[in-house]
Amino acid sequence: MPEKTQIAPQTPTRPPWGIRLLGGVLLTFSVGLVSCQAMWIL
Amino acid sequence: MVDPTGTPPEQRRTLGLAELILGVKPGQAGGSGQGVRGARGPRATGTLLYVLPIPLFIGALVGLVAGRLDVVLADGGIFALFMGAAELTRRGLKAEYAQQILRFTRLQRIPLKTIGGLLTGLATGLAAVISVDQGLGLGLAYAAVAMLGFHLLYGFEPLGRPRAFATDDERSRKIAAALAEAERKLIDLERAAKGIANPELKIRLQRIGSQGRSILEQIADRPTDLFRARKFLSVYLDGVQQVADGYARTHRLADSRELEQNFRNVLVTVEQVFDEQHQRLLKTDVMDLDIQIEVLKKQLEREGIQ
Repeated sequence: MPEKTQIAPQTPTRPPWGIRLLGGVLLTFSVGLVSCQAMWIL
Repeated sequence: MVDPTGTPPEQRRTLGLAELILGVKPGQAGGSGQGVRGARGPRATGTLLYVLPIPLFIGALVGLVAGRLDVVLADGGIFALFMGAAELTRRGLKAEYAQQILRFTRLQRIPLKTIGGLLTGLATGLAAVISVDQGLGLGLAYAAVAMLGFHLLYGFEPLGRPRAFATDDERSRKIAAALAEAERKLIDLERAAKGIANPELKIRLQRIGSQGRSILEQIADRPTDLFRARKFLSVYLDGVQQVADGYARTHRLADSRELEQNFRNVLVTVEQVFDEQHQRLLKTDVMDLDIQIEVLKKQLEREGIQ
C-alpha cells in the first residue's frame, strides 16, 4: 500500500502584527521611559 | 527626471509602519539562492533594543561632565547591560531566521533570545531602582512590562530541546532523525564546497548538495522511500562528504593535477548516482500511482460501473 503519512517540518509560529505592535509599545514605554528619566534626573 | 538613486520607480519601495516603528526589515532569500521556507512577512532585527537605551548613555556623559562618578558607573553599566541584551537578541533572531532555511535540522542550542529578554528585564529594573530611584516594587513592575513587551515583539524560545518535527510515533521519529543526520552531512558538504578554489569543482559539489536536498524532500513526502534510499544516505552521502572535506583540506597544501582529476571523477560518479537515485524514487511514485489506478479500475468493474 502506498504510504500516506508525511513528515511535515514544524515551523515556529509568529504572533500577528497587532500583538507585535503592542509588544513594541510596551517595550518602548518601559525601557524608553526609564532611560529618559535616568537622563533627566541629574 | 533622472532619479539620483538610479533605481527604477517600479523597484523602489516605501518603509512600512512596522519597519519604521519596530526596526524590522523584509525577509530575504537564502544565500544559496534558495527561497526561505516558512519565512513570513518582515524579519525582526532587534534595532529597537539598541535605540531605546541611548538616553542612558547620554545620562552617563552628562554625569561625566558634572563630575558624578556614581551616575557614570550606574548609567554606563546599565547601558552596557542593555547593549549586551540587544546583541544577544539580534544573534538569536538571526539564528532563528537561518534556521528557517534548514528543513530537517535544529542547530541552535543556547536560547540567545530568551537570555536577551531576561537581561532586558534586569537592566530595565536596575535602571528604575538605581538610576531613577523608583523603589523595588516599581523596578519589578518596569522589568515585568519590559519582558512582556519583549515576549510579544520577539518571543522567548520554547523550553526544552528544539525539535524539527511534531512527531510522536517511534517510526516517524526515526525517519526524522535520519533526515536530520543526512541534512547535517549536506551542510558539511556545502561548507567544504566553499573552501574549494576551483570553480568547476565547487559548482559540481553545490549541484550534488542540491540533488541531495531534493532526495531528502522526496523522502519527507513519502517516508517509505527512506528504506529505498538507505544506501544513498549511508554510503554515498557519507563518502562524498568525507572526500570533499579531505580535498578541501589538502588541495591548498599539495596542488596536484592528479588529485584534482581524481576528485573530479569521483564527483561525476556521485552526480550520476544521485541523479539515478532521484529518478528511481520518482519512478516508484509513478509505479505506485499505476497500481492505485489499477486497483480503482478493478473496484469500479466489480461494482458494475464501466
